[in-house]
Amino acid sequence: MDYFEQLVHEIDGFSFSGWDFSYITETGRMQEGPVKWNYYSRIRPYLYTAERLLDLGTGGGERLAAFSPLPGETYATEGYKPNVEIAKRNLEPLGVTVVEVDGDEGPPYNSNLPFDDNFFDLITDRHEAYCPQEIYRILKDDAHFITQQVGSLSIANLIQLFDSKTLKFQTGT
Amino acid sequence: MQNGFEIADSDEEISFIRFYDAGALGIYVKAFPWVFPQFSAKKYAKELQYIHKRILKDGYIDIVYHLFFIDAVKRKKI
Repeated sequence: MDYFEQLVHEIDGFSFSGWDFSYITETGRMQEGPVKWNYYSRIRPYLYTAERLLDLGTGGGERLAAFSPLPGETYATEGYKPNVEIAKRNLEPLGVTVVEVDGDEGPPYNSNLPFDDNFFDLITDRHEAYCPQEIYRILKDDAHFITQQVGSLSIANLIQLFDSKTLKFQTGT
Repeated sequence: MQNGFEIADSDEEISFIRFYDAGALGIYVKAFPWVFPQFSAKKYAKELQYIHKRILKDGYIDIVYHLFFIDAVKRKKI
């Protein structure tokens, strides 16, 4: 097997557990450029005073677990089935209630969450689609909704790299 | 005010993610099954080969990482 064949073999043999990128980040093979804000540092001040937190689209719960100690009542939703069990395993020992939501419903996503009106002191959302009206409904007055979202340019660039027609154009210049 | 929210802070940045070998990029792509539903390195061998060669030449490849941030506060509708 040459080096490239080894890489192909490695890719096809790999399966994700939640959104855990540590396999490629710990060795520095993948490195994110720094941005002007840090999601965790921006949330942290609110974590101290919040009594009831919701993490929308928690993935495998790895990020939320890293926020501990968490508010006394913490909930996490996840719609991607393979992640729900991983999230439970990561978060239930920390006292978090993991709620499975329907990830297959069409847009608007997360528009029917199983929580009461004016329920949360803080809602966090890293890279999960949200419905502003539904966030408004379940958030208490003067409470914060903090989200980091991936813009459309990220996906466009990936599609470009893995679209052979575009590649032909690139290599032909 | 948008949808009853006051935007306390928001920001946007077009950053990058750098990959130092094609294996790491291939693994990263597998995290997005809704974009590449049947992704396998064998199926995308041609594209990966191109990325691999570019990395051997340049040392790395960057992909666009476009992010935004919103801190919104719910204000009572009056």
